[in-house]
Order: sequence, then C-alpha cells, then structure tokens
Amino acid sequence: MDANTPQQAKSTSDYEAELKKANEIVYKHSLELARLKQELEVVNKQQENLLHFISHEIKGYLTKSEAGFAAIAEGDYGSIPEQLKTMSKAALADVRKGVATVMDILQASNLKKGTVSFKKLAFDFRSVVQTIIAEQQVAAHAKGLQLDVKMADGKYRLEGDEEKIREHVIRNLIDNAIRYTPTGTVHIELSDGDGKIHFSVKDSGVGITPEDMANLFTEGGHGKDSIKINVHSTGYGLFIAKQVVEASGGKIWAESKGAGHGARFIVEFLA
Amino acid sequence: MGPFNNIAQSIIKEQELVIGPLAWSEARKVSGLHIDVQGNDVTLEGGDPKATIDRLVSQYERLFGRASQEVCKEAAAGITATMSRADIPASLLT
Repeated sequence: MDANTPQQAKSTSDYEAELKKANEIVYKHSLELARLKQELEVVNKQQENLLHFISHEIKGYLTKSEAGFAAIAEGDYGSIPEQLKTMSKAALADVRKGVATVMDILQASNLKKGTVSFKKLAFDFRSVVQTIIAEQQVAAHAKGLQLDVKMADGKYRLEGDEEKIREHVIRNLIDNAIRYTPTGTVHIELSDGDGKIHFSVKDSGVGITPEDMANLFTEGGHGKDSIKINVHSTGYGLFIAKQVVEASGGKIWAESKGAGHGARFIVEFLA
Repeated sequence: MGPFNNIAQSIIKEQELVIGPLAWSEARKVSGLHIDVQGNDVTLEGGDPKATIDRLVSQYERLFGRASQEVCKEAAAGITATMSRADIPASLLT
C-alpha cells in the first residue's frame, strides 16, 4: 500500500468480526484443552486402577511367601540347619519390607480413591508414642543414635484412628528421622496446650532443600537426594501421613534450614 | 419438555467444560430458558422447545463460531439419538 494512502477507519462491524474470529480461536484452543483434560483423566484413572490391581496381586504373593519363610524360621517344619534358619530369617525380613512397601502404595491408592475409612475412637496418644519409641530404640541403637524424649504432663486423649495414626504418622516420622540421621540425636517432643496436642520429631540428618520441601507431602514426593540414603523409599510415607493427619482434623508440616541442617516434623491435633 | 430440558442442560454443561462459567451467563440471555441460579437447574419455559434450543445453540455459535455448534451437537447426541428426526431442533441435526 502507498504510504500516502489514507487508511480507512474500521467500522464497528469490522471490529465485531475481528472479535468473533479471536473468540473462535480461543474457543478452539479451550476445546482442545478440555478434550485433553478428559483424556488425561481417563488415563489417570486407568493407571490408578492398574497400580491398585498390581499392588494387590503382589501383596497376595508376598504374604504367602512371608507365611512360608516365617514357618521355616520358626521351626514349624521341625529342626533345620542353622544356615537355613539364618537365610529364612533374612528372607522373611526382606519379604516383610516388600509387604510394607506394597501396603504403602495400596494405602496411597485407596486414599486417593477415597475408599479408606477412618475410625473415630478415643485413645491415649502419649501411650502410643511411648510404645513406638520403645520399639524404635533398637533401630536407633543399631545406628548409634540417641533418642531424646521430652513429654510434658498433660491429657493426651485423642479421638481418631489409633492404628493409622500410630503406623503412618508416629512410627513413620520417627522411623524417617532414624533413617535420615547418620549420627547424633533424634529429639521427640510431646506437649499439649490451647486444646491441641503437639508432637514433633527433630533430627540432625540430611535436611530438606527448599525444592524438596515443596514436594515433601505429595504422592511419590521423596527428596532428590533422599533416595541415596534410603534406596527403598517409595515416597508415599509422608503423603499418607498427611492424609491421615488431615482426615483426623490435624495439621502436619516440616521445617528445615536446608540441606545438611536436619529437619523437624510437627504434627498438631485438636485434643 | 422432558428431552428438551435434558438437551439444554447437557449443552450448557458441555460448554461449561470449554468456556467455564461463561456458558451459564450466556445461557441466561436465551429467551424461553429458565436457569435456577442456585443449582444451575435448566428448564424450558412455554413456547416452541425446538426454537428455544436453536436459540441456545445460536447464542454460543454467534460468539464462538462453528466449533461451538459441533460441541452442542455432541453434547446432545445421546438424547437426540432416541428422538425422531422431526423432533430434533434444526441446529442439532447432523
């Protein structure tokens, strides 16, 4: 066009036509996104069902193996050579780890599906913490770690699912602290106040980077370097802990000054 | 009005997946269509139900073009499949 030719002003209908074209383009993109979202939801559902099915099947086989090795190790088939006994015990321990891993994956899958039911019965939270600490002393001692326990006097009556809170929250947090602390002390504190029960586990372990902190309680969200320390980590432990705590009306969070500075996990329940 | 209420509801819900709440605000501008603000429940008021559905389809088509009409057809396909051709609104005929 000649630079001197005056441009004709656009009419309202020209603008309307342009606007419609733009609307149509945006609509087509939105439609594409909506369809992709639907497809993704179907694929996610299928994947979730497959994961659930596989985990369930493997759990069945592992449980049978567990019973078999336990029977051999405990002498159900009579006296066996010491070497076989040692092998059976080691195999039993491995199978139990496998069962625990599969159970974690299944539990996470069930929590996502919303098929997990929670009991709401009163129990003594302090007594549960004491029991787990007593059980975890062996693992801490084996690593040369100290468990420093501080429990304030108070009422620790909590209404919730005792078994899930014991296994997925208390045991998981203490177990993690022991696992991720090479040397030093794990501090466990329990107190109550303001109508709340506060439970915390502090370690002097590998710490949590800000990047890992963002994914800490997500499904499969283990830290970038945590897998180097705990090669068997499924990344489901803290995800399940968070689901259990929140289903019980509580809160769970972590604090860390970064890699190499240890971490503190805090759980708060309404008493 | 049975199938036409369902057709209107399906169309608006399908459009909602693409354009969000705008689907409901545009549907509210269509005469002959009553939308319950609380539950987004859709009912056709009196008049020719086929014409009301055509106006609804046209309301989206006017703004978003031909692709939106195809979305309306797909949304209603499950219902129109059970209707005689004469009863299907023109905008939804394939």
